[in-house]
Amino acid sequence: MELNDFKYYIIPFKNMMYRLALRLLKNKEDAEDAVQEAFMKLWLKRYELKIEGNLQALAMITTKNLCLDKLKGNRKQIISLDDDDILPDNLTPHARLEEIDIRNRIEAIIDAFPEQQKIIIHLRDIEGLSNDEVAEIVKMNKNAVKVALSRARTRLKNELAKQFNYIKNEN
Amino acid sequence: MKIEDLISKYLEGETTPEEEKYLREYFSKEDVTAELVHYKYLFGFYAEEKNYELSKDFDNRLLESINKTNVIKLRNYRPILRYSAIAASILIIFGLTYYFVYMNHNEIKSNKVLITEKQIKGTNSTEIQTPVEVKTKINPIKSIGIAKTFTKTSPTAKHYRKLTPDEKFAFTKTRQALNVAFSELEKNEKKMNKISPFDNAIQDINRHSKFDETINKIKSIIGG
Repeated sequence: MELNDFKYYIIPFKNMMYRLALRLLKNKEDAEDAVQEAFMKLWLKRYELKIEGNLQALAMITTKNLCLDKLKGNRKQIISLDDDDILPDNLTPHARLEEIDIRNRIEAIIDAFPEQQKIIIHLRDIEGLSNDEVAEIVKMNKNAVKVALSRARTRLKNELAKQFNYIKNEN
Repeated sequence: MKIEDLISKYLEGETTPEEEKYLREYFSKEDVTAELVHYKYLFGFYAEEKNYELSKDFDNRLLESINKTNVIKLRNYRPILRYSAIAASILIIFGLTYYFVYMNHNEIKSNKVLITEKQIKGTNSTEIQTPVEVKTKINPIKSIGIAKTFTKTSPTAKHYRKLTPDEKFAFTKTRQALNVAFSELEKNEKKMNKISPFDNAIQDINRHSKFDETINKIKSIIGG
């Protein structure tokens, strides 16, 4: 694979890779660096890359491993994401605050998940990948993915419901 | 399917991506009951999370890094390849030159090219010719000898006489096979290398007295 194919077949995964890196590293700069690094790893392997191969899985596995290595290496202090730039602009300041608050709560619940569950729910519910695609990336069988996914979703729902009741009772 | 059923299917991890897309759309549009409102936030959160993208100049920075690896590659490897190619070409040129220049010389040592043997029509004579024209220019033949007499064993120096370039020899085939031996005479004739002794019985008919006669005869036959 030469540069043109690389640009055409690999680089388009950049934002999916970035979001996974962001989910794991919790920091935009680190995530961007990780994606850059992942691409360089893929670039060095470019002669082994086959257009007909599963390049999405390869790109995501490379990103995932890189991020997990980074997390293992240095547990950086968690800097919360800057939410302002992805929220719709038409919210009233109050609604905006509330929105940010809820976002932070959901974010915090997911952050508390074990890494594998975090990755699975991210890939399934944010990226919209299928169980098969996720199974290949996390290197688990399809059933195990389903079980982990169900566990994560249920837990997220329960925690969220609990917090909503708490908010309701607070008001 | 009712939305509650779809949700429980979702929680079990059984929904397809299409069904999940439907759920996302459902919760983005509909006003939902208080019991389900957290799903509205959850799916809203998911949808927003997908909006995170790399900064605009990411591609440029990536391509820059990629180009840097290419530059390093160029510096480290490509010149080696290039010089190897040049070296290989030079070697090939020298090799071929050497081959063409010295091949003929080397051929003197072989019995395959040096001697062309031709049956002369209507006779039992055979013409043998050394391709001296080729060689005289590059490597004049001063040291080719032809056996005057042959035995079954390899010829020795005294059986040879020096040839002048471009000389033709004619031999008459006798009942026994005619064989010719060429040798390269070294400084010392005794050190003569055997070049093309043919292994059959040899009879020399190329005595000096008859040699010129034979050549003339052949010339008249071929019309040369």
